[in-house]
Amino acid sequence: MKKGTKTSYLLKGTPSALLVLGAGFVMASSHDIRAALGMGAAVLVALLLSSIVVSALHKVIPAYVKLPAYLLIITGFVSLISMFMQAHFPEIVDMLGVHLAALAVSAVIYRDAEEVADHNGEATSIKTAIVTGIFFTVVMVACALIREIVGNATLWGKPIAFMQEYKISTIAGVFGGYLVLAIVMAIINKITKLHHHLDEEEEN
Amino acid sequence: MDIKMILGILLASIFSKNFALIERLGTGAVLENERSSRRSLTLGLGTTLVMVLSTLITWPLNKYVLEKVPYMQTMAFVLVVLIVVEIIHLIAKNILDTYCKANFVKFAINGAVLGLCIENSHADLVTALVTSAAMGIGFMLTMTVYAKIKNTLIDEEAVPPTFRGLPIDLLTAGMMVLALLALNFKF
Repeated sequence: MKKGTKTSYLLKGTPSALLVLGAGFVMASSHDIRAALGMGAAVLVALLLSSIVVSALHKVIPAYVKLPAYLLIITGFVSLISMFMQAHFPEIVDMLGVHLAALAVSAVIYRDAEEVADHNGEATSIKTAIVTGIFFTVVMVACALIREIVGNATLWGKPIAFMQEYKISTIAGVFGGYLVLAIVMAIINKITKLHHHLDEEEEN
Repeated sequence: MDIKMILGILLASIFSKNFALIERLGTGAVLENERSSRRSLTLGLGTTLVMVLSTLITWPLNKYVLEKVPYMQTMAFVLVVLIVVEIIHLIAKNILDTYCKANFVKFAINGAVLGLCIENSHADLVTALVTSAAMGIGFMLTMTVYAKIKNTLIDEEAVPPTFRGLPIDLLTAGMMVLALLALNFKF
């Protein structure tokens, strides 16, 4: 493949290929909207910073140490984000638990560094990182809204009085994470296919 | 530690505290897996070995070195996991690369291994090692069973187009979660 031609799965129009890599942390942090926003911000900042550093350094890092070098760059940024959040948003760090640290080895951030930042300049890498980060944040917030309102009958941790009798606690549980993400992903698939269909019609 | 406790940890690791499905660490590696049972078992064994050896190094490292510099924990643990995976890959390169379509190194460095090392740092060494082995076995079984269900039981043609791919994969994994949680009476 020619240099500078690789883009993220998202920009190629295949969000499910990207979402499968981050399905774990999306489901783990979508039980509460505050946790979803915290994780979304952490993913966005980690993607952005690691993409900038990797795209700036990829020419001087020898090919045989790229994996450890990129992983350590990502881990450094995730540790920084974790410390920042621990200092300013400790309740969100408690909600996220070990999943925040596990971002350091997330395939989403690593593949972004390896497949996009390693082959492109800073501008493309930053654009891809922002698009990917926002996509994950939107998916997590959408799942969290459904799970928190329907599953817990709360919003931002505050009880919704008229929903108390109708809440379905399974939605807020582990299985609810899989179910809600599957439905959200199906909606994204539908929109993506519709978008592709419209593009094809325009070309014809 | 008696046999009853070891059995308890093993059962919890496979069912109620399953790392890939219930704790959602390393879920991506499981959801992406489409390999045959033999390949999944071999890769799972490789990952189990990574989990046990990483815990063997990270536990004393955390207790004797990282207590004074806790903010370095993630960085140090990732470095240890990286070294362990590279050493195992170096020793069993031919076997592992035959069984892993992608690079084994990228497969084995996942959230499950790192999360396990972090969670094990609060337990005593023997419990941590037994937990690592049990979690590895749980991860291996989950990966194998999930791939088997996905490859043999799901007819993609019968699934509505918008639910093909990741949505049906998530629903399949969700059904497995329900089955596991049913044993715990907690869904």
